[in-house]
Amino acid sequence: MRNKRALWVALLVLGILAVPLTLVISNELKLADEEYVFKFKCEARDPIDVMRGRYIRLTFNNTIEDSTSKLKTLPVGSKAYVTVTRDANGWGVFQAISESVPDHAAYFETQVMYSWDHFIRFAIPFDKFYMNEEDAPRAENVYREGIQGNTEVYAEVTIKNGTCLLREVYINGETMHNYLQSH
Amino acid sequence: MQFTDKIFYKKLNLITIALLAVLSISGGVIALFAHNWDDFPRVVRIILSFVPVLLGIAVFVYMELKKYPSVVWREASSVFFMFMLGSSLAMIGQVYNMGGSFADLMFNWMVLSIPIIYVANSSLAAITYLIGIAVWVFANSLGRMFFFIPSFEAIEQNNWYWILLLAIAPHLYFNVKKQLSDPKSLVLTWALAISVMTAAGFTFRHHTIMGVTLLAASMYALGRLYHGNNTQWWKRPLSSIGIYGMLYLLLIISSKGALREYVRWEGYVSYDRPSFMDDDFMRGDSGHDWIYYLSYVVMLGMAYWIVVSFLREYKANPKHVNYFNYAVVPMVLLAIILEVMGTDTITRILLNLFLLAWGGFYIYQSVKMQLPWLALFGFLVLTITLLVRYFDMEMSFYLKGLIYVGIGSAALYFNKVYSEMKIEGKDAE
Repeated sequence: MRNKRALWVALLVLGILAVPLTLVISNELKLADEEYVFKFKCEARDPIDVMRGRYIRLTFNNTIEDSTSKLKTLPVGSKAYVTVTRDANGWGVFQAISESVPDHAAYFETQVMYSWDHFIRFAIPFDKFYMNEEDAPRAENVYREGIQGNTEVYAEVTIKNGTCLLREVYINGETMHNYLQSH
Repeated sequence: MQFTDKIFYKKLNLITIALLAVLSISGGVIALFAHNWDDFPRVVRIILSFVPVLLGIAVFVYMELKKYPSVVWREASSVFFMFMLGSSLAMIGQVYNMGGSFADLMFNWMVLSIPIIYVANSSLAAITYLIGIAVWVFANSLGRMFFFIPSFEAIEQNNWYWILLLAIAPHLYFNVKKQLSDPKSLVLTWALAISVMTAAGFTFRHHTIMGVTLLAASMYALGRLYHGNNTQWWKRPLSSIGIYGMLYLLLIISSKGALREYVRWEGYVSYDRPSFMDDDFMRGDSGHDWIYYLSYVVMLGMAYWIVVSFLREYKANPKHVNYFNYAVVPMVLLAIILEVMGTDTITRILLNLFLLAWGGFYIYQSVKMQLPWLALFGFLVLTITLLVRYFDMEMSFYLKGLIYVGIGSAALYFNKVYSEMKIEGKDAE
């Protein structure tokens, strides 16, 4: 009886530990992959998550023109795939949106937010950048104060085979963390 | 073990204090990590993110090895394990800037917590889970609601609540069925009733108000069957929560403009014309027909259950039937039909008169049955109704003032009579 119970407890502990371990390993593998790193220009705001702390919410130009209007009838919340590419200056661009899995690797899975005319707006699954609780409001202020000047914010994201991972947020070429330390 | 048992009270105190301690420590750990120690290198932060779950496991395994017979240890260590698991998941999400809302995190956390409930057979962990899944439903609906009714997309996701609830049905079955009036059963039933009643309104995709009213009335009827005429409200959780649910609903729909907006939102009227005869009325517009048909089956089932329960009670003793509680469902149905017909003012007057009569009925019953707490509920109904109406009723301050003073004076007079009543030979002070 005692051994049987010990077995159940061991299974529980191993099962529970497997989840965070899997999360760490899969994310480390994504970070190690440099080939599918894209840079997207964005804006920054500062909300709070009760368990994960403060973060800056990044907003992107997440609207795609669907010239065929095929996806217009998709209900809000439907699963969709967005392919990404780089423009002539090396910036990431959301290229196309489809209902089926694209045939090349640079795409991520998302949900349709709404559509109008030939346009579709989709959710961005890499819009949260967690920061120290003192730095996050400062980051927003820096962004807001610099918005009339030449402050440029961009996010570096790994996008591959439907998954994505926000690696870093840069402000005027420096990582957000370093920028806040030096200003 | 019964409520009168001294050992029971000692155990209850120990469990309560241990739970408060666990909640406090867990909250502290979560807050400490939520600070975000991003000065540390990533590898340190990854190691740190495992600290809470390892701590939870350590306490849990220690309980298994050394303290298993202790209910206090078993319950407290299971809840601690659950919270520490949540903290670690949150930390990893933070380190890797993983997307997803707070609701997504709650969902994953609750699903992963299910085995803890079963391995430890912990009812406090089950209660935490019941609260957690209700919080998930609410969090998932935030920002996507209109008059407390979530958008269709949110409701579709929220229906996972019933599957999550099903996941702990075996635990509830084995722990509640044993003895319905047992303290552990009662606490579990309270948590279940609160969780279901809170979440239900966010899960009915179509005919939301009718669905929630039927659920509240079904819960009331189920409570009558299992906990009978128990005179202590806290010993009959299902019927108590059922009544509070019905009261809350009546207060909402009797507010100015609420029912009008609701019948438009549901599509009962289009361009202020009844649309009962439209082709898509029965089906809605999501394309998920089976959800609609299933919801009709569930609603008809609940209606059948309410009628059967009413007849059973009526046959047993017509004098013991609380006709007002059973009248809420037809009242709400009538209100919706009247609203669709365009008689907004009459509907609101009718609903408010019903609420006032309901409160009055409880006060009358209180005097008749010599149960003062019934009057407390009656005055609560009257006061809340009048308080809510103060803000949305177009009535002169002069008249409002007279009504409020009248109700207040009646309550004070009741208190005077109540304080002079003899209870078990002693003066009730």
